[in-house]
Amino acid sequence: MSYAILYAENGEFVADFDSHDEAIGALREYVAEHPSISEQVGLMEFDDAGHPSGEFVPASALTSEHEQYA
Amino acid sequence: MAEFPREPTQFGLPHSWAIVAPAEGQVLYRITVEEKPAVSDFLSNRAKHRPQMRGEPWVLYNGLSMFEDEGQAAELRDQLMPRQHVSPVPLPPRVGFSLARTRRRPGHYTVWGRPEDLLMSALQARGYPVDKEYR
Repeated sequence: MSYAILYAENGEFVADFDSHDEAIGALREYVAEHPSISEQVGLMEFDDAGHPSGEFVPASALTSEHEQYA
Repeated sequence: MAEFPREPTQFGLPHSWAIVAPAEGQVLYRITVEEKPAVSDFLSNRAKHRPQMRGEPWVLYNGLSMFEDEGQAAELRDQLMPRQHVSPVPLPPRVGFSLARTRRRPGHYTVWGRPEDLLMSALQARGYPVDKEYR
């Protein structure tokens, strides 16, 4: 399993991680510094074969759903 | 068929490394906003003035995400914005394109090249006439 931060437009990757918590932390920090991109960038989970294993979650949704990471 | 650059881990190098190869006719697949690709589809995050993530390697910030397999690009597109499209992007030699196997996701490559040249290649692959303005 891996976790990628990417832009929805063009599927442009920004960063990827082995850890879900690390990915969320990095994404939160990224959008905290640049709030204007919170609807454009988000988190995607991939299985070991590289297939998406969940829906794309925009940062704007993650930041409200993961307050425990604040 | 042109060989794709290998993952750095195959050489005992850390995952964060990138082995950059000159293009030799490989074909990769790019998610494009419209069915007819536009030059904006071939601008890096840096060229689009998107902010660099803290710690993001400069070399990746200046590259483009593409995929070895059309299906890989399509399944990602379906999760991101299903109204987007997937375009083949032939990477002929002697144009100045480079590519590297990057990121943890299998089949993900980072590509570097002049956006107008990448656009011309994608347009030609789809049978669109290439405007002289791109040359």
